[in-house]
Amino acid sequence: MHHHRAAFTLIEAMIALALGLVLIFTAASGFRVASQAATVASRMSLENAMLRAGFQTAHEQLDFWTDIDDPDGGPVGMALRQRGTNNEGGAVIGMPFTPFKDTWSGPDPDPNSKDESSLGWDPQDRAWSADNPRGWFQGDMAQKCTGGELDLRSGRYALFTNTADNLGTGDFTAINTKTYGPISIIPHHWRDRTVAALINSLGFMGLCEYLPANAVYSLYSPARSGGPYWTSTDMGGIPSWCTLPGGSFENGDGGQQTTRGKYRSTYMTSYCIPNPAYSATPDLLGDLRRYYHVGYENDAGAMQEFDIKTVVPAVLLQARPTTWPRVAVSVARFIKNARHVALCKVRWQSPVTGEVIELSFAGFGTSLRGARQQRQPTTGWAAWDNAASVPTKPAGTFTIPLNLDSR
Amino acid sequence: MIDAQSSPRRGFTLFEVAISLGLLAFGVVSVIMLFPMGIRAQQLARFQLYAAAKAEEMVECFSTTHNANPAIDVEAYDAWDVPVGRRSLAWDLESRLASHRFGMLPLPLEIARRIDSDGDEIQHILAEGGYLYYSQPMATSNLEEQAMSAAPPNEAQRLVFAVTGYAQSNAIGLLPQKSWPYVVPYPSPPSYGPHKPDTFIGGSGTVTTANTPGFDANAATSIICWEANTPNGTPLPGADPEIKGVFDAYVAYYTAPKATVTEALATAYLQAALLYCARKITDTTQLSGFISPSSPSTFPYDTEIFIPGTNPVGASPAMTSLLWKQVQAMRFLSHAATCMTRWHTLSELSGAGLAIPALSGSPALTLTNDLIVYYHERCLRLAMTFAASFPYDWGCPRPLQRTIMTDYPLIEYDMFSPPLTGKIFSGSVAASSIDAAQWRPLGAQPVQNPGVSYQYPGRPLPAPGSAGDAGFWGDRSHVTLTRAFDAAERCRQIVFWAVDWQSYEDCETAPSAPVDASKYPFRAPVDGEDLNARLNTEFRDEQIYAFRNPEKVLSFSNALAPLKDTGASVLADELLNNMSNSFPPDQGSSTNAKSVFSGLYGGDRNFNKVLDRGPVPRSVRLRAIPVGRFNYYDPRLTAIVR
Repeated sequence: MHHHRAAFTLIEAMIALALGLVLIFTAASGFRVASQAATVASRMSLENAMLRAGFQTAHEQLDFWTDIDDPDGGPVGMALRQRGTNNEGGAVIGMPFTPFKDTWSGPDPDPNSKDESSLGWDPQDRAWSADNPRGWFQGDMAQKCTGGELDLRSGRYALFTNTADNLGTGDFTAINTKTYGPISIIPHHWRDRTVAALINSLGFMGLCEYLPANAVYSLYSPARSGGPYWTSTDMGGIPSWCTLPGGSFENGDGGQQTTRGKYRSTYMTSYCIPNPAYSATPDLLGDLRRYYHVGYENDAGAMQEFDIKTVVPAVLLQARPTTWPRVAVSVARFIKNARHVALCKVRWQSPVTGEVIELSFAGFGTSLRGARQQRQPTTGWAAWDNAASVPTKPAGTFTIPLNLDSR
Repeated sequence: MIDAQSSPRRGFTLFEVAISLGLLAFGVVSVIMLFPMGIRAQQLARFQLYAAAKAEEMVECFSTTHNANPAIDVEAYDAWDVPVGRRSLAWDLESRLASHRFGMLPLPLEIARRIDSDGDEIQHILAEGGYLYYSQPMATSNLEEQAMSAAPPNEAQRLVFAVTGYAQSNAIGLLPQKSWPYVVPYPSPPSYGPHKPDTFIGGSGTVTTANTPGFDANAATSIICWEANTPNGTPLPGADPEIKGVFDAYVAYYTAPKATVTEALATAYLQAALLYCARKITDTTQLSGFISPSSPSTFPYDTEIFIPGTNPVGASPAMTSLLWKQVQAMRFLSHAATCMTRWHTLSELSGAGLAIPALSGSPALTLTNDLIVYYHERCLRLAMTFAASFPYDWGCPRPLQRTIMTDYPLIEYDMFSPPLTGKIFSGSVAASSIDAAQWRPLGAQPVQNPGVSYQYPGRPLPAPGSAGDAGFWGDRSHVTLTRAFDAAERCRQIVFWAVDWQSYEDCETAPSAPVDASKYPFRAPVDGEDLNARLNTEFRDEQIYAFRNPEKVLSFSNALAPLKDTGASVLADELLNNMSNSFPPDQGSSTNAKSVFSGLYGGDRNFNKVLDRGPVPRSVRLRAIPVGRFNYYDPRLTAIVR
């Protein structure tokens, strides 16, 4: 039987070829797109994972401040726990994470007490209870740091409140050759001593963190005319740092010579907690006791310095593959316009293009006081206050886990 | 039966092959289309992270940023004559944060109207008068932008967001007719300040003392003691003409030059304060126990802070209306008595003490150090107790040493009574012609002793229940601030979408969204100043955050900026910040100033210091992808975390 086997016609072959090419082209394009999409998705997935890690790291630092003070980090991690001596007057001064026991003496006071003679910080919430007279500023709000024409015209408010138990003749400024004392009974001490001890122990931003929101930033001490900034007072006994415009605590805005509150002190300038490693030889005690001109009429140099001092960069995954993006996280802590800012920045750099992208946000976090109460005075973390075996100090009217605020 | 071997062997027909290929291509394409979905999922995940960060920042900023706009007038005898009586300072998230420093900038309306979204939600929000916002390119750090370097690329700017749900009617943070609380240090002399000598002063407490040490050496101002002022000398609770004697004696002492000031002036001030005590505490036994208790060093403050018999526990309003007199009396007495410690020593103020003779009805007194300390102690305790106990009694100022939340009484606008109406002030009452209206203020409790305001003592506030009450205060049955409420009533939502609005060709040249008129700072009424002059007030750049165009910092300051080439530097065109006492380009009545204020020339919206134009023409509509929704609590009261 004859069996005829016909070949494809030219038309059929051409159509088949065309269809085949379409198929190959479609498949190739598809695979190329798929490959690119998979690559992009994979890269984005990696970037997102890194970004999430950065976001999470920022929140961990907001909550636990480990970028500033690592209780498990040894001396390098706890650089802001140092203690020093004020060059002017010799007072013991500390840093935001210096334990109070190293800068403050005396037992923890009873928080419910109206005891004016107690020394130092009360670690419970009633320390500044609004109904407790020992927390009220008892001085003259109009008293100026320079006498000028007014020369203590409103009288001597050091009689009502003072860091000293008693004042000798030399502790009053003579007016028309008359001094006032000596005087042995001064009704109020607690607030003045606490404010003085806080600024010595913690620095400027620490003071702002610990004082009540609407506190008056001032106190009275024995009058000392002339002399260095930290040991001199005005005629009535208010220390120069509280009132002297353009000193290191009060900015020169308006030339104001009287006691102020937090807004006035921080709308032109700012206080900060510096990065302990911003330089090989940082002057941390000094950096904690000055203002930074980052408000109106500032300049690029001041902003740059502030940035260098406050940004605490942490690069995630130092040993990452070179194809992974570089992600750095920083949290800067400062006060501006009476607002306590924790400014987080998550910045990543593409390994392909080198492009830098940043996510910045101001976050909610633990206050300095809360962060200090998370930490043991030496190393390690404090126990929760409801833990079964909480070390307490002192055994007495109240108990509280041992932390940086304990003495 | 058919033999299989004999059956013809046929291939697929061309049609069958074509169908097969079509099916294969469909399958391949379908699989391929899944890959971009993965990319979109990753993009959405990233934007959800951005949105979470932004939402956190917004709530943080809303909760911690102080309401400090100190360079703005806050008082006028009619609410519409100061900008604080309007939306600009409302305690709502978008009102607070839509400013040039706090992170929420309204997207230009021209661009916002081109953006579609599911359910057309964005366009519904715009149609109701809301804004679509974008995130400011810089961190919301409160730092001055003037010296900031260019912001790095910020993908979060591709987020747009809006606040949905209606804001609650808030408590009034600043009552224009009297910006209570007035806060003074305790002890202190009668409070005073400079004031233009116009018809609004009125009253009996005014002194004219130009070029006097300690006062503003400006001959164009008078010194006014608002506490003593009453219209035409008519006694008025809360504005006490008897304070004038204390004030005059204080001024004589305080303003005397150093070379000529004498102890006699200090003594006269003390005698005036004692006379004031005698006039306020008319029972001689009570007065004696008040100014010279038998044992001042052991006075029982905890039980007898107010004079026995006037104790406020359970007291009627009539009774509590007497208590402010004790607070004021001890405030002045303590301040005047302490002045004597400048002139005398402890030994002179011990033992027999210092004799202060009676004068014109003031009681004689033997002044001792113990008495001075007692005055101080009781002064502070009286002030603190009164302030904490009677937030609605404005008979004396609140103590500066301890400002607390209850210094701000609960006052709201009564939206269910006819509003107050009048004219916007322009030069004089007679010349004012533009109609205005505002709701009536309404306290959760009646305000006792409202007195007069510092700025407009000639226009006293009527006390609730007084003859003028019905014309001013709202209906007390309409108070809502103290009512119970469901959580849902105070729940609002921040809604985020992602859309690449910066790809539009006019992303930086489109004018700003319309600026809320209440964001224009203007002066309170001054005699002889017409409305135009009031609008031409000084912009203290660093102290009026809630005012001006929210895009102010980024805005272009001239008409040529948006005409520049793409990529050209706009460093010199940004409004940014201005030095104090300068005249920023958006201030004043010129056409250009109004254009700059309104953001007519656009702005450097990504703060990269160059002019950007995207590739997408404005005729194209973009679709916004929903990213996330965050509920938050909408407070009715001004509240700041620390």
